[in-house]
Amino acid sequence: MSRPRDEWVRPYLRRYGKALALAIVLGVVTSLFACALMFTSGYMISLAAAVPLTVLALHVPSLFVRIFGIGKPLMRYGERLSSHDWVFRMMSEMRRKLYLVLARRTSALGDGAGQTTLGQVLALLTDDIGHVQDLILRGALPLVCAWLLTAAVLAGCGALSWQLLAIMAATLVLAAVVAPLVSATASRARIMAAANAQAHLYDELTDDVLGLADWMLSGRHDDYLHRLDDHLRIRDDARASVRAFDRRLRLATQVLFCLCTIGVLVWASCVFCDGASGSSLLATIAATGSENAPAYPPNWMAAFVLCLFPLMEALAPLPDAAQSYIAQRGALERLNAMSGTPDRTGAHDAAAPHSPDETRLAPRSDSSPHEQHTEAMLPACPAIELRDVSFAYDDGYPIIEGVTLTIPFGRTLAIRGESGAGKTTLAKLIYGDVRPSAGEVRVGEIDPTTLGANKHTLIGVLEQQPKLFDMTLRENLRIGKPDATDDALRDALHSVGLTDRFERMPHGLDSRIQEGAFNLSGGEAHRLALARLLLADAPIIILDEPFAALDAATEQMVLDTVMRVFRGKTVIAITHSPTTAAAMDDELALTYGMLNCNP
Amino acid sequence: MLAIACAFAVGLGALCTGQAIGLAQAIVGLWNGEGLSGQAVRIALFAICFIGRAALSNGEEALMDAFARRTSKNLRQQFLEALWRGGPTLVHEQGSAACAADAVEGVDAVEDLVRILIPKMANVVVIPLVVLACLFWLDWVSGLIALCCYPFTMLLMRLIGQSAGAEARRRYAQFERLSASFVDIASGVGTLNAFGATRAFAERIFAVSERFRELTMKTLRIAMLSTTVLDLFATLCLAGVAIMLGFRLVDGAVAFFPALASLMLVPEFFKPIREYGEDYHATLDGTAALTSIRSIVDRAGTPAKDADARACVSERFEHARARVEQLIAEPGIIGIMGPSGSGKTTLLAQLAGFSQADRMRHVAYIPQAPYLFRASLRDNIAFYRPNANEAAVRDAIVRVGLDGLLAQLPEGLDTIIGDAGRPLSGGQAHRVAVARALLDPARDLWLLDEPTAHLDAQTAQDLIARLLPLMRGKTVVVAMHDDAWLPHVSEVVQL
Repeated sequence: MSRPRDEWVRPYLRRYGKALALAIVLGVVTSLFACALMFTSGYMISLAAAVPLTVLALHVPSLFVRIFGIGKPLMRYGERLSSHDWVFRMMSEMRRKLYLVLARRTSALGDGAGQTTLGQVLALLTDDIGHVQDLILRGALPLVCAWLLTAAVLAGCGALSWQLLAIMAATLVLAAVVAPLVSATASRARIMAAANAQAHLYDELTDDVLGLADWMLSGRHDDYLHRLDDHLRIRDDARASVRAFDRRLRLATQVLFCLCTIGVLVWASCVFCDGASGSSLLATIAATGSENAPAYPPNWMAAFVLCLFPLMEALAPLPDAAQSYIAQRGALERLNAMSGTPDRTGAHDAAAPHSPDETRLAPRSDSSPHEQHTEAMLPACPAIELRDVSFAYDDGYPIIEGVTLTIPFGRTLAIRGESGAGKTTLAKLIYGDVRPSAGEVRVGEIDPTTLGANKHTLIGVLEQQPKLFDMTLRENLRIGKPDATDDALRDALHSVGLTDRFERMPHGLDSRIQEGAFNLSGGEAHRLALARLLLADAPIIILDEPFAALDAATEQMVLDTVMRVFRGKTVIAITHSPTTAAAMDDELALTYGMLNCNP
Repeated sequence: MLAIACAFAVGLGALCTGQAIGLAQAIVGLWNGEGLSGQAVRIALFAICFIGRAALSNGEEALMDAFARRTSKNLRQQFLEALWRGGPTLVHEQGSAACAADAVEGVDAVEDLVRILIPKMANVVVIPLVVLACLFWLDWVSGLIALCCYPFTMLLMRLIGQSAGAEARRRYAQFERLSASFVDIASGVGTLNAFGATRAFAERIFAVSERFRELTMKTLRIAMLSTTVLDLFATLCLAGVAIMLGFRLVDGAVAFFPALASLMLVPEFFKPIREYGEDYHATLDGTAALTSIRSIVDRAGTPAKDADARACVSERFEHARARVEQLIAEPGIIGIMGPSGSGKTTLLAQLAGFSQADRMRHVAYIPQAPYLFRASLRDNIAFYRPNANEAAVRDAIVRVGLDGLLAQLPEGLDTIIGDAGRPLSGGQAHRVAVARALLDPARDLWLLDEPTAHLDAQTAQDLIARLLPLMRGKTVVVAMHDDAWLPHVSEVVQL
């Protein structure tokens, strides 16, 4: 089976190897201590029951009882804490990495096609990242610990007697290896079906919640309440049948444990009561005695039988562990598949981390040594040149054909044209989001697809639907310029005509912008985004149908502001609005990929 | 349900004492040199009890699974019903992501809570009692030691459990914030890319996540401490019983059989408590989810506050609203004018009557960017009238001028649109919403929010020319941002 190399868990296993080893060792020792406690207790009371005997004989066994009694819960506490801490650290790294992978696949300019949807992000967050945690804590770790425990126990049994080894090996291999495997294989399909239905449920519910207003207006109350029933039934039936299978498997395991107990009892009675032969070690043990407690081999019988119970308790949950391993591995595969897909330009974007060490770079990427172009090398007054550029998407239908165009630095240009005429594609070519299928694009003599994380210092974008974050006003503005002073922020707000609006807010720059900019009108959100762009101060600005939501008066006002503040810079506006187009130096009309210049 | 679980617990307790007695008798018999053949009955007793116990607990689980499934189904229905009553305002307050998470994973957590908690609660009370009775019968000193440990473990568990519970509730709130902030940042990833701020925000996500880890570890340290203390008590009690038995055996105060059986029963005495303790912090998620779901259900029951307090305090707004309410009694086109941010959208939302069910059936609300469902084009258009026939749907499509689009679609009316489906332009989405309104003749109050805002003058005029005949006989309220609609409206209300 050739699967892509795992990029999500493996690197961290190595990085946090010591913590992981500690968790595993503690896990195995915990189980061994539990067995040892029952073993010594059983031996001790058998010993005590044998007469003649003095109290002194109990001293050593009772000391061991106390050591194992106190040691076991402490070991367990240590194991649980260290494994959880380890996994949570890994989760933090994975969230950051997931985010960077998302970033690699998304652009500011765009029609939304091929971008990650809200439902998918939620699935990635709750189903996948969150469940990788379960994959390790509930799946992999218990299995590894149980196998090591099995190995340790079998080694011990082997040293004592081959009959005991045979009984224990049969039981332990069935319980620790076969049962989990059977459970995982038998339930795999049903677990996948349940997970699939669960993903559907998430998508549909997100759809319902976002379209709730329309549902209410439709008055289709019962449809709304019951349309998820099918997916729910599929999922719940699958889960129920998995659980039913588990129950049968558990019963079978218990029968096995019962037989094993009886087997060990019979073996012990043969060896210790009837004096059947065993290894020399066994003979030594059976003959152990002192003047306080003369050797009496049947004392060991209870010890061997009783220490089986904690062992069974440790192995019983393994089929569940195997199932959660199977269930959660899908999440890991989805993550790997996602990071394996090529990025937008097909070029190796420097923002894409391929090892966890790379993700630990300085917060601002400007200083990254991986960049092909450092900030100092970027031209201050870049001209834009397109030489005989054509572009077609994968399906081959050409969007842009043979466009040659030079935009000197400082010119302002409107790109007009009908929907689908290629306006956004032209902007994407200049922005370096897509690579031309023929010809070349140069921004200040640089191929814009190689700009990587420095792109923003050269080209700024005002989007169609600007995204404002659920953070304070200050934080939203500082995305444009992280070290901007409050005065600079206020100046920017003033330039876009938002001073009045935010002086009315009780917390000023600390006011919170709600999800989806719900407490701002469309025009205000746009103006706020413009303020952010002003702060970023790039020499080239692309406006992607920026003023569509503004009324004519406001459009004129903001447009005046744009022309004033961006004076001396290159401004490229994709627009429908004649007002905006008229304010630019040049106007380009695109008709299905062909250029008509009306200077 | 609890009574049934208790009956099961009595059975389980009886079987586990039987198992211990059978095995202890067999070992003692062998130890006395009675030979294997004499132990067959005792070994059979052990085997029957051992397997019977597993079978019985399987039966109980099957029963509880079915019960939990019914419970969670009801709860999910209640939650969806609450969203319906609370409307978009409630969803915006809670965050759409949090609502979806509550309805899927939240309800699942409650289901687990019901399935796990009821049998374990019954076990924790009943099984120790049965075992204790047996212990007193076998050896009263061991019984006494176990009895003394019991209240202490319960008390400690309760104390620690309470503080862990408080921590977990805080953590749940933090988790909701974490996922909200992750989705918020992730959905703005294009913007952040454009500003070269991706890395800074990746660090931010890392920092939020690390804060979450620290908080979780704090909770776990306490929650797991409770299991550890329990474990410690159980093992110490076992050690204590073993040592006491040892010394009393030497004195001849107790015989071997009751001593061995007691030793086997002491772990069984603590096992249900330990299991309860181990699942306790897992069930905290369920409790926290239940609290969150309940709060939404309760909130939906109370009358909704006005979404935008800013608009409400304005006398001018109230005046305009009263005027529009008066005008919509008659068919005609009413325009609402006002600068960006003056509350046009808020006024339309109030007119749509998300708090008045009787009006909603007559309203078609067409926002600037209408929401398209992840469903076929047909289902999206027939949303208000799901049983409309194909001819009617096609007719509506032709009337809004989407026939060109339909011709391009490979699967025609069955093409999936919306989030993750075939992307439509803003103008096309808008036309889908108009077709939706058009298909249902009962929709006679149309609310349009700046329908021509995205368009240049010529396209806007074309759109108006196409919409006007469709609006004949309807009452239409248009929020306007410029003069394009002015010649066609019968009345203008200023905001």
